Amino acid sequence: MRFSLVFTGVLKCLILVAGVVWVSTLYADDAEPDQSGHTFSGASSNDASIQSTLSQSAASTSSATTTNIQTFLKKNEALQGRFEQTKSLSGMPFPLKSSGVFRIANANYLLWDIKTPIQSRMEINVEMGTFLVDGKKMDAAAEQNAATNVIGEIIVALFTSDWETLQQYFVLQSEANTAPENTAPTETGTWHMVLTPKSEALLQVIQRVDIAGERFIEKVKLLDQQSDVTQIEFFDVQPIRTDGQHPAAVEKP
Amino acid sequence: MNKIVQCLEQFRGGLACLWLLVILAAITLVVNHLIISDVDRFESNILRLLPEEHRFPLQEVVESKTSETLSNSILYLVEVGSDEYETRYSEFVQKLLDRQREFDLTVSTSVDARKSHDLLVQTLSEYRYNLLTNAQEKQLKGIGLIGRPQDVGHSGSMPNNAINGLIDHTIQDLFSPVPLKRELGFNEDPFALFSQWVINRFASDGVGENLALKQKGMTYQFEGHYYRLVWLKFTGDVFSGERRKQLLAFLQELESPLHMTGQGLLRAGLVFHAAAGEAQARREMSTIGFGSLLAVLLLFILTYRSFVPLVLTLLAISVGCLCALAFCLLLFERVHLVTLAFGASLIGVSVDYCFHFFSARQRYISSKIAINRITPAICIGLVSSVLAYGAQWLTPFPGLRQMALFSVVGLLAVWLTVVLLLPLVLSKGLGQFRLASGREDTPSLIPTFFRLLANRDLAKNLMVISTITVFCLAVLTFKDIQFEDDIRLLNTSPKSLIQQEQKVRTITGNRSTGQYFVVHAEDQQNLLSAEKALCTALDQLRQDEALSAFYCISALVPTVQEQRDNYLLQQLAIYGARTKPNKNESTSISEELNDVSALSVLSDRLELDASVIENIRQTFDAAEHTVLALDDIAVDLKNSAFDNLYLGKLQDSEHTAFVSVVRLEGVQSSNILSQLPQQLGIQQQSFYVDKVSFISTLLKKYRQEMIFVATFAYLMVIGMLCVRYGMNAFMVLAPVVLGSVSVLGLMAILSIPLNLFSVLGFMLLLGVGLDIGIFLQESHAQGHALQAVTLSSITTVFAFGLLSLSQTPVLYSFGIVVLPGILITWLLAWLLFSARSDSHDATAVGP
Repeated sequence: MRFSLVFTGVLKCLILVAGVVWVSTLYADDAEPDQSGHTFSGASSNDASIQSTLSQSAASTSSATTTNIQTFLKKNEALQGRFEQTKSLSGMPFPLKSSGVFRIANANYLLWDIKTPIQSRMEINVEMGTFLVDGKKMDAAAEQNAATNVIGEIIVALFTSDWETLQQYFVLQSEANTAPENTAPTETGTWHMVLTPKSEALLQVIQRVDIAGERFIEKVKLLDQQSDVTQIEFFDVQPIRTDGQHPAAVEKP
Repeated sequence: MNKIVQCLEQFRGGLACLWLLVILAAITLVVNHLIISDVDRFESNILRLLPEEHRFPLQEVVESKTSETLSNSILYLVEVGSDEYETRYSEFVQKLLDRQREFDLTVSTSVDARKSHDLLVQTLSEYRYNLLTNAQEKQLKGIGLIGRPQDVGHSGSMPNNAINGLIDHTIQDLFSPVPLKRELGFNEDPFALFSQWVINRFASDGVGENLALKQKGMTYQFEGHYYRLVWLKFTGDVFSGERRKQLLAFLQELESPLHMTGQGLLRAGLVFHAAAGEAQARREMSTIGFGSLLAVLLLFILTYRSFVPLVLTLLAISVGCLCALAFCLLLFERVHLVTLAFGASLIGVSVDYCFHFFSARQRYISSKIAINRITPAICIGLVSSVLAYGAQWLTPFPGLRQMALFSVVGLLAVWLTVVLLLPLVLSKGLGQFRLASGREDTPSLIPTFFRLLANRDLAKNLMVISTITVFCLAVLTFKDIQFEDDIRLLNTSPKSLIQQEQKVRTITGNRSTGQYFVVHAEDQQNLLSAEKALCTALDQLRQDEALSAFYCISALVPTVQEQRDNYLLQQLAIYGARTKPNKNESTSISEELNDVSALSVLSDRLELDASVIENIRQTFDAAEHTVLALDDIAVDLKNSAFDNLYLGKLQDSEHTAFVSVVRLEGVQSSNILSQLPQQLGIQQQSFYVDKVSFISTLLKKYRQEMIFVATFAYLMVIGMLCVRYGMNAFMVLAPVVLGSVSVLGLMAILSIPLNLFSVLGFMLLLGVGLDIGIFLQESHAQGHALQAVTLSSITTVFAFGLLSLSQTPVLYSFGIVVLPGILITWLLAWLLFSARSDSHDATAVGP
């Protein structure tokens, strides 16, 4: 019958036309892409899947470490002290040494003031998402790098030993009992943690972090993807009262 | 008219033989072209529907290249986020990899995408001294200008702000506790210029987008769910074939365990749309199609009580389609599938001739008398339809011209078959079939029904009133008729599939909207410089938010001249130009003079060894003659956002050119973009393509052209009918004109917009409607003619009108016009002619 002819004809045609139309039609309703959905990192810790990952990684970590380390600062408290940093860069014949003072508030603020051999002042404010070097914002190219803010958050979390934040990004392993220097009975409070990134994306920047400390953080060793090594030692670390002021505004004791 | 009848009667035998020969020739031709020869004579490219002068050279080649890469890929987003999901994901990928070879698949995951990105960056790093971003170029020029030896002479050791800015920044980075992603070591890229260049160029390439830093592996994050990307590429035809069926079955089997929980799996790919479209069409064919087929068969058998008319009708229509196809193959190089589909439906009008013949045969018993009686009617029917459909030949659109040829030849062939062959076939030996059942003593079902209907005055009056009401309403709302040429008309996919596809694109950051620029030139360098000009303008537009992103190959590969300039600039500003030893001047002096470069300043600040600096310089000097060419990175571009942008050397019938595509995302206004090549003075080398608006415009043009030409053709037909019938032409025209107007009104009332396919529906309506009028007029509304037009109306309603139940927009638009149109036209014709024959009877009986 004529319509069966037509029907197959139309059918073939439609399917072929569908090919051309495919891409273009889809976009037609695409005008309202869901923007709320994209977050690069975000601290959406109430998210179920993160919670499950969290609990899993917590379980895999030695339970002793999390109970022994009580580095969370009290409210209205900040840490300050001196640091010495040694950075070995690939292609650089000798390590770059620098030293200065730092001030840090729990999980959201870091002031890194290099005094020698150059003068440079870096400020990271995780809450506000700002990253200032000598009062200037990081240049545009670096800001486009979506990881920058996350890296800032991670650095602050590292220096304050904020395990909760770190566990979102890293697999934590305690080496407290394996390291021979930590076995002395007087040093029961010391700890040594090895952090490896969970995500491929973070691995692009950080390969592995070793941190060690007693009451507060004492040593950080950071390996990046180019196998550059950054070692930081902290001295005279002590908490200061901020009394609700911004940590940057507190006078030095 | 009588002469034609006489002629036909006299030479029927000879003419029939001739006609048989023609049919045989047509069969041979079609068989030869379609079965024996390997050349594909069917066209499905929608671009070919454009008039030739509207096409861009090369566009078709580019089109096929780009759509091929699009159509033969599948994107899967597999949910991860827990160990259970993680296992499922690995199983999924593993199963795919296991059978990769069997289905000729290329499987890649986001980890692979990252790997190929790294490879690409590695290749590019060899040419790092030739690559600078615009900002870097500006910064280095600042240094270079002040740092030139003659200026140093005046300024002495004055602080150079540009140099200090660069060096301060570099030192801050070197001493920062924050790890920064560097592509190369300090000795290869001391100022991290290449690292910055990579961030700048690849910032929006999707590798970093929506990537969740917290999850294991490369993961996309969306609304609290985590997904991992699996990307399949396959070869072969997306739209048909056994292999595709097997592939889909295999994929479905893979998908099923992932679908079980929640979101699980998201997918995107043309192949799914094609399969869904086909499944829907099949479903509708088996419901609507089967239903209408059954109805038509029943109708035939109840009316004629024999299979012979059915078989012969089918044969006649097949002959029509065959001859039409043969002629199209003869006259056109390639036959478009659109032509076939709609041409075949227009040939549907010719079924009227068969009905008319069989009904007359039933009435007059002799085939000879029957054919002689109806020849004038079907002659005029043929002429009017041929005029109406043939007029489309006058348009410049190849699709319409092919359709015109196809339907005209088809109609003519069916007509010839009915007039020449059917009387012979039925008179010779086939008479014993119970075809002659039209006598009063053996009333068949359908005619009885008509006689009953004709006597019910009440029903008649009711129908008159309702028809007039509909008509009045229709005329009142005439102005509300809307037109719609939206591309979505052509979409056959179910909504859920489209939504899923959109979601995948949102998550993976692929917001391509089918718009792009094509740039072409006679060699690669001209191509790159033309593209560069275009991209500079696009960058400005992006900052003005006229578009969200664009991808062009010249972002990665500058022209040879630019590369040289960039190298020299770095030499001047960073590494320090060294005078060649063979020059007459003393080398040591000129080296010292030139040595105010950023590198030496940095070395002083960091107290680096001279040997370190010397090494860095040597690497730089050694790279002096390296030049990055498009072909160097061709392999590494796979899986990156820059894949399929450079299309290489392309050829069409007249042109050979190097071609590249600039892909656009998030376009706000096509207007600005389409004028861009002209404004930049590169309209010879570049043009803008917007597929969405292109297809919509094409549909609109076809619709307008068809309406215009059809109106013109029908005015001619009306003229012709007036000449033949005089005042009675009103009787012939009234039903179909009133019917069409009512349908237009109905569409306006129900706010169903008109499109190209409803216009095609109107064409069919006018063809069938005119036949109704002509047959009834020619036979003075005798019973057999009424039966013929009724059968033809009912079959048309069943065959095409029921398409209004279809979910497919194109079929729906077609059916929604034909269904009420044919019903109203038939009703009006029946009322008009039976009213007249009543009055005739009255006058005949009266005196």
